Amino acid sequence: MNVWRTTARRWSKYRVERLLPLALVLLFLLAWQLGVAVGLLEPLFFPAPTTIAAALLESCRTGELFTHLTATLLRVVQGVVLGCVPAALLGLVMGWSPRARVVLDPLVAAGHPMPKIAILPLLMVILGIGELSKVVAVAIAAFFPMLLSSMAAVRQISPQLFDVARCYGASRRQTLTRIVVPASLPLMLTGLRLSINVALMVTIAVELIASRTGLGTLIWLAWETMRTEELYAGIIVIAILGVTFSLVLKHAEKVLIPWQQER
Amino acid sequence: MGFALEGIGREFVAGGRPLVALKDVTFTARREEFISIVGPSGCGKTTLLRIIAGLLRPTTGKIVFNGTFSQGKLRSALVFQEHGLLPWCTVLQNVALGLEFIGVSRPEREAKARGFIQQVGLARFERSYPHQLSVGMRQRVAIARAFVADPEILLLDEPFGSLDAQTRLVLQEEILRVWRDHRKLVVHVTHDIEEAILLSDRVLVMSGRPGTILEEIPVPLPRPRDLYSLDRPGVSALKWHVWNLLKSEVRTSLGVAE
Repeated sequence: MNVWRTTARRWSKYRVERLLPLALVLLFLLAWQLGVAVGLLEPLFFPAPTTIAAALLESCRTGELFTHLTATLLRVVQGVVLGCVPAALLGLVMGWSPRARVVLDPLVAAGHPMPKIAILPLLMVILGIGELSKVVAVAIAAFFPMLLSSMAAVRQISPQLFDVARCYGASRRQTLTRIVVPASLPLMLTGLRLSINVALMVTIAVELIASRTGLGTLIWLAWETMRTEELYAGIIVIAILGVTFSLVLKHAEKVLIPWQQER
Repeated sequence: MGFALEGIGREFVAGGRPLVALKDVTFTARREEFISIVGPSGCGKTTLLRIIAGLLRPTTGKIVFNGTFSQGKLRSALVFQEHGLLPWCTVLQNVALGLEFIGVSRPEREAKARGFIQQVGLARFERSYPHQLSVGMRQRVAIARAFVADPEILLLDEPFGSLDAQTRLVLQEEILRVWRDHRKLVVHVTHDIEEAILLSDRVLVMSGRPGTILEEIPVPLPRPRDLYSLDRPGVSALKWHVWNLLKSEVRTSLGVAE
């Protein structure tokens, strides 16, 4: 309730500023369309926005787009769940226990900077060329941002809150459920956001090189057959997907963290 | 329940060098007594409270609790200077927190909490989160939480320190009233001399670092008290007496020569 009202208030406050980016995009598209119409832009490289829209619609009509979209979405979601759940738990443990940190920190430091796409061939050797190796590659990529955020989330908890728990006689379990988890939630959601971004990136990369379905594949096929408008269409759908994830998470944040100060 | 501190000392290591925060602190606290500790900033008052609360071990000396422990009752509860509330809990949940931790059923603990919330005049804010309240309201919630938990010993760490002067007066009266109805041993840390005199049976004056007890001063004011109690004869002499003890300590802690 409260959330909706504040959102509404904010919308009315910056109405002009909020419409500005939309206007800029429209202006850009108009210039592009005109550029193609007067022959200033080469349609093979820069097909007119209307051509791209037509390709997008056609792809929707045949259902091809949805097949690819579903495949990508499924990989992202599976990878994020598979990677983030253990990462969140391990992060809590590492944040809480200095001993666990000493043991695991070097391993994390070694694993994190590794470009995850580089392990895909290895995963395909071990797990086969089916869905599993792809999802696991995405999961490994999603794992690290969540782990680091979850660990940082626990470490930034004010020591005073632990004092409160101790002085009011909380058990370890109560400290976990009443202090550690809620106090970590905001940063963990930020971690989830980072993980989803990385997961989407790796999913597309995996599809570019080793898949028959998915938005990455769609783009690759469009490139191979020089159907540039489909290439653009694919990129647009991926961008929309990214924005959707981000919006869903923003809303989840408001529902899950009602105590967060409105900023 | 009461307790006795015997030669309590506490050292910290700060920047590689040992720092003596408390030295040979000895005093006894009797049941249902209201004790205030006044001292200059950084004299180890908070450290002392944390030792009594069991959050910190003393380096030397010991603390002896006498009297019987009631089963399932907290030995002590601490009201922090600020930020002691859980931001993700509503006022009701925060006030009921102590009871929740010792396993009191939800209807029972909420009923008890509601009673206290009403007493501190926050009934309308039961469902609010701490960030939606003013600093004064938050501190009332913290005080209600401590009383609801019904500990043997109540520890107050400058609970009014972050409040404006007027809110402070209101809360001082409020704590007098709540304490009158729910008598228990209170150890209260403050640097407000008048506040210490108004609330307590005894004022303990602490020296600057390393903190130790300079003098124990009984406050002979009759109870029940209110803000007008400070107008009684003798209060002003008491106040100046405490100030004369503290003056040079405060100057030293500020690095000002006499």
